[in-house]
Amino acid sequence: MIAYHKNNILFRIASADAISKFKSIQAHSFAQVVRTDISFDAAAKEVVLLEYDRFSQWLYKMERILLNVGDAAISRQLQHALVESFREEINVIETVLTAHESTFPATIVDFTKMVHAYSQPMLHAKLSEMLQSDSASKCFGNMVDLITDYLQHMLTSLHEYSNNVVNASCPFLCVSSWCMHFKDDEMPFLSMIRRAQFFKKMNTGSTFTLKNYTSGDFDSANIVSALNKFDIHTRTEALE
Amino acid sequence: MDILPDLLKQLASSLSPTEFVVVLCIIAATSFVVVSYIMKNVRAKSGMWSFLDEPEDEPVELKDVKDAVQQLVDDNSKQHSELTAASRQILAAIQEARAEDRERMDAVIKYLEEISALENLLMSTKKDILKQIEDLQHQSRTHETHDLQTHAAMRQSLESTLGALSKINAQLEKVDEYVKAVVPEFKQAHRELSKDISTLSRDVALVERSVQSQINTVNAVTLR
Repeated sequence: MIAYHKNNILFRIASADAISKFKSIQAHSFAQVVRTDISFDAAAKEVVLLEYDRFSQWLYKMERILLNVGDAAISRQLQHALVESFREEINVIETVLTAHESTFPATIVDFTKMVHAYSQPMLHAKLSEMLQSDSASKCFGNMVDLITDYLQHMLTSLHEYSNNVVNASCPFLCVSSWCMHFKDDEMPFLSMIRRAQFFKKMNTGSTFTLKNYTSGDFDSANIVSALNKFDIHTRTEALE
Repeated sequence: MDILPDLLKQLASSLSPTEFVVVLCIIAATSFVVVSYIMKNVRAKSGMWSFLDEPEDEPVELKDVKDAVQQLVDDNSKQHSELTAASRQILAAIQEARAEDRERMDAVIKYLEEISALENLLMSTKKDILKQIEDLQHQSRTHETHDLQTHAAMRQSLESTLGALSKINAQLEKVDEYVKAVVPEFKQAHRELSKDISTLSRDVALVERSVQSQINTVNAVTLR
């Protein structure tokens, strides 16, 4: 017999709203990658689509699981399972990238894996925190926001890749909310440093223009200081 | 007694020599038989006829001679009539044969006449055919002459047409060269224009989409 859970209207409202926002941002992101003035690399487009596809399905799965949890607390086992399922999605993405060499060149596979490498610890930590402290409905909304920020970060990172590696234009680094909120205390702005180092290996040079993709102003001095430690320089006049 | 010469005359005139000789032989044989019978009946004693004699026992009386002569005459008449009848039969047969011959001759003549008529008809037909052949040959010669004239006229017309076509072709080639020179530029301009239009259309669609989703995309990233 098919299970049915009544009196879950609040969760359903919350999850529907969260998914609605997620899908709107997804559509907006897809519109960005097809803009002709951006010259987004074709392989980079496929990576964006793949990431959105896998995590869309993961969010629907999460919605179903948390709907079944209802108002009860999420058990530790379920928390562990949910975090592991997220890790599994990352593995699936990397497996697909590796298996289709004709679509995904080695450089973009390495770049994506690099982004995954510095993103996963932050994501796992945040997911665990949400699952432990929040109710199911609130947890799901926060999970959706987290995945949305991560995918937006992936979009800007691949935008950097397209410009710096594929198009070999004047290199820049994107400063996004992801960088600001999930910086490592011991290694601040880790994501920017890792990407800059990758681009340096791709012979883009060591001087980058900083582009602000945060919702407001940011402290560029800290960023510049952190980057300078790794022999990564910024163009002061291009700070936005 | 004049009947026999008349009969002989008639036979001579109407019969062929061979037939007349045969008839004479028959008459002679018949006469000989008659005479011998007469002589026998009359009991004429002669060395010549002694072999015919029959031994008689009594002398001949006059009455007997008259009777014998009368008998002889009667026999002669009878034989004569028989001869006449035979001759008439022969004549009739001869006339009948001659009639048949005449009929055959008439038939042959008729056949020959028909052949002659057919031959005349064939000759006439042959003459007609020959005449028609001559007419056809005359017409053919006339047509050939006409055809030659027509062909000459057609050739002239074709030559002038070819000349005009060559001129037109040369003009077309010039036009084609000009168009080839101009069309790529036009094509290029048109292509660029089409590309710009499609780009503009896509950008318009994207802008429309962005405007529509702005409410829910406060945190969405717009690349630059």
